[in-house]
Amino acid sequence: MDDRYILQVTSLKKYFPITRGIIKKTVGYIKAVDGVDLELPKGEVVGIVGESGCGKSTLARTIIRIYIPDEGKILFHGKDISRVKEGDLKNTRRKIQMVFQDPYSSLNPKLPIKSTLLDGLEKGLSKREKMEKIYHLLEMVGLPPSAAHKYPHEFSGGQRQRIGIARAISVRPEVIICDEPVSALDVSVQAQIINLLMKLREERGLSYIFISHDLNLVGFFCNFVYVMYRGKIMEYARVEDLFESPRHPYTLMLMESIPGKKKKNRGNRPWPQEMEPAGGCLFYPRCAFRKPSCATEPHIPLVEISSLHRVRCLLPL
Amino acid sequence: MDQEVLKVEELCIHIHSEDRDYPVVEHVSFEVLPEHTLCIVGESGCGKTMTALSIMGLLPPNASASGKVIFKGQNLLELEKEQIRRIRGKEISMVFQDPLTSLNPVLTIFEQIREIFEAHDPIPSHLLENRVVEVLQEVSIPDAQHKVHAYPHQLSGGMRQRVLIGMALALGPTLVIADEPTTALDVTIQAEILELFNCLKKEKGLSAIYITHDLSVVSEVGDEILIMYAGMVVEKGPKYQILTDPAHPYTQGLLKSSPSYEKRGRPLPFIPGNVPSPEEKGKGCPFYPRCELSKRECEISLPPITSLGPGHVVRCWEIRR
Amino acid sequence: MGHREKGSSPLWEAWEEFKRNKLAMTGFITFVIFFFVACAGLVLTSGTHPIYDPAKVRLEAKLLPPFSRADPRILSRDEIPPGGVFLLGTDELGRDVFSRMLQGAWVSLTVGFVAVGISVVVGIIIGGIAGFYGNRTLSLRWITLCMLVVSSLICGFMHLYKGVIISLCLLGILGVIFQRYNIFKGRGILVDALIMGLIDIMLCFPSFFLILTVVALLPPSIYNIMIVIGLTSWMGTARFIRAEFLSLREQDFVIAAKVLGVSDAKIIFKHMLPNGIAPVLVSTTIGIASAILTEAGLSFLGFGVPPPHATWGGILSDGKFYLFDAPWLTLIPGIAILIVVLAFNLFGEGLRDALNPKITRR
Repeated sequence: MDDRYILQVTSLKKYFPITRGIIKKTVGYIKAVDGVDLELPKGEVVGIVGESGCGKSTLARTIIRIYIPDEGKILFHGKDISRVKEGDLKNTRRKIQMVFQDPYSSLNPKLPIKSTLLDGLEKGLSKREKMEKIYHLLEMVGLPPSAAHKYPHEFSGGQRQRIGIARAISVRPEVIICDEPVSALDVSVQAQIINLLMKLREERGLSYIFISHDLNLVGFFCNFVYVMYRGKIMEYARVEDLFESPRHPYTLMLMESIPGKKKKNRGNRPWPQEMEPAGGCLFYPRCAFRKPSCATEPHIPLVEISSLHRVRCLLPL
Repeated sequence: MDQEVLKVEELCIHIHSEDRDYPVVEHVSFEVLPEHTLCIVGESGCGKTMTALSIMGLLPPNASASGKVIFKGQNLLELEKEQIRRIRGKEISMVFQDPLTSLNPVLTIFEQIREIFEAHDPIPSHLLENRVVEVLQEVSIPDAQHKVHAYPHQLSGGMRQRVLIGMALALGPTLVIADEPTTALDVTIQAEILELFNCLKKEKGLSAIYITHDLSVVSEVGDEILIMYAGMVVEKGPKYQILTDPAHPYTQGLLKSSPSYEKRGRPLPFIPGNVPSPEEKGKGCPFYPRCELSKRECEISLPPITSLGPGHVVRCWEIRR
Repeated sequence: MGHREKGSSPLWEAWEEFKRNKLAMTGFITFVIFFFVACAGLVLTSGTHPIYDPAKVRLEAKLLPPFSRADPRILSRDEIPPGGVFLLGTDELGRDVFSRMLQGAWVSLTVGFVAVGISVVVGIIIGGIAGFYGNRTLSLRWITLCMLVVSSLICGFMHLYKGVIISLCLLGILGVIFQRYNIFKGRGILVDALIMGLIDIMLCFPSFFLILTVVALLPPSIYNIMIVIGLTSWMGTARFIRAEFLSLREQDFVIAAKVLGVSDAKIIFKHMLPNGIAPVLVSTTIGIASAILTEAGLSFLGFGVPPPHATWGGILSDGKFYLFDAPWLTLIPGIAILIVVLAFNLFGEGLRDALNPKITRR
């Protein structure tokens, strides 16, 4: 496909079957990821923002092949890795790494840090070479060499997250997917980790997919943003375009939800609070700008309304 | 000046474990004015939840509190268990953080709200159902007649939190303590809950203590702000003052290091180091190891609370304007 | 939050926690003592002229109570025990009970450890496969064909040649039918379902009677007993390991290892086993106690380790005829079994409490 993109996802779908009864008959599907297109240009930071249940974590895990996609393609350097067998995946696997949300479950509690970091090193190195690499990695993330011999419970959340980042960069990846990397951390520590991620990106020429529910954070860190809702992309834009002129009602709702922000061009329309989608647009039950046609239209496509700005809406703002 | 609803003086809470005593809250003093919301802001380990629990008389058995917590002329810390129980729920109520674990999963909403009335203010059974539905309607839960017989897991997170707020307000308390009520919720739901909170506060003339780690939430709901760090008050003042021109380096650091779209392009300022554990605190200012203004004095002795203006106090040796 | 001293591995902290539990430490120390006694027993009672001879028959000195002096007027030089005293008396054949207890200690220890060793290894393998690979499916075709192969092997083993021929014919016929008529194509059973089914079937058998039956059918030997006990008590371990693996598989650090490209085997042994082994360790200690009891029970019923090898159950069993004349013959092995089993149980419970993961600190 396109050379500019180091990672490209087309029409990705991941459904989880819902089973009932003893014989586990499939009665329906949870459409966690429902036809997502995503491009990651080389060296950029692409953000995926959405609330719980929108499928952003499932999307992340499908891209790195923890889950096998049901439909769609994942192109890495132009090659489709969505259906490659486990054995052949090994080399590509290492090029796309992940930083996890929960600093408390992302490190093996029974192993000292050096054992955790050993996983990513090449084979055939001498013991001394391995330890040198480990000390170097720790230094890169701002931790002292003595940390290598300690156990995870001896570190704070922020420090554990640094170790997780050290593990991710130990295999020299090209892409790192950050799945809510600072949500579980204290506010005063979040900025440290964000700065570390920025520094590493500059030093190593990494590309990031940055997942968060915090629009402020995405606005600060990312260059392009995907807004995700119930398995589908609702809006995609450059970060400046998204913040200065959001076109999808859900994006507007997210912006207004940032406490302290002034309410923008909404007039006095209230946001309805229904539960189940009536049909048509998934956001219909909660949309302040809806019209009856929004509930009946079966398939609403993602439309490019200006350069690098796409919206999935019949009546974009 | 009106009488304060709640006055806390020199509250100290210690945790006893095996051989040692850890102070988790030290020398905390504040007031809650009538129809005002005091926001207590701090990170993990700062003691904000312990402070709230001590007001409610819900401290764990290995904790002990000293000082004064004066409510309606009485020091709550000196009351008997039964006396506190009567106050708890009726005159001071609390909304907890996680709506899923705060509600009993095997009881319907109706049964749980009924329990509150039975404990404090029994209502004859033919009036009970209406009153319970009223409680839900006050927190804007749609279709309250049917929702009332639902189980907690059948409601969304936002709905559950509304139920908890409703339960806290059911008996018409004077003071409501909310401990991070929106932390576990999505940001759009959080916005709804904050709006609800503000409405109810005005309607019922409530006083509230709102505990959070998120400074932006404070700008929506707070009238006064109390910043806590490692168990101590480091700054306290009116919302506008604290958010636009804070005096304490920690508050300044918190504000500067929160990311936003407007700050993009440059590295984010940050506070180095970590929050100290109770064992690590020294004799001086608890923020000393992380403070860029620190001097020798800060390490050895604890700065006193200094007044900087009406209602604005700070605990720092290096106060700068 | 915050830092601790260097080198506080979770294992060390668990040990510190364990030490604080007085009952558990008592159990542990008793176990250590038992271990040394058993080893000493092996040394002291083996060989052609052992120091403590468990097999020497002294018909002139039978049924002597504990602490009886060996009368040099009746007994010859080599019949007198070291120290000149029968520490625990003699049995109905004049054999030194102390020596027999020493020998029996070694048997109990071996049976306990080997039987449990087998059950743990089998349990980890089967439970591990269920937990790690459980969501793969085995095609129904392969299952039926394999079952026919296995049945033909068993028939061959038992010399039922007609059975072998029938099985092989069925194999061929079904093989052709499957190919031509697309029966069972693509359908399969989840590996996890298969293994859980196997475990459930094994659990249906009342274990002691199963062991008894097998032991009665096989030629009597200590090895058969150990193997049989081991092969019929792996189910608990398998279920623990399966449960632990199922939950560990979803943990971030395991997913991280997978994403780093770590091989399956390394993930299982380096990451999953150390985290999942805790309940198995606890059930191991209690399993050893149970194996010792089972062996004692088998010996009591006459199906245990064959004579002249002494076992505690055997001594107890032989002594039942002399309950009123020589109560020490039943009391001593009985109390010994009681102490050892109790010690293991306390040790196991202490382990369980010490290894309990503490509530995560924020």
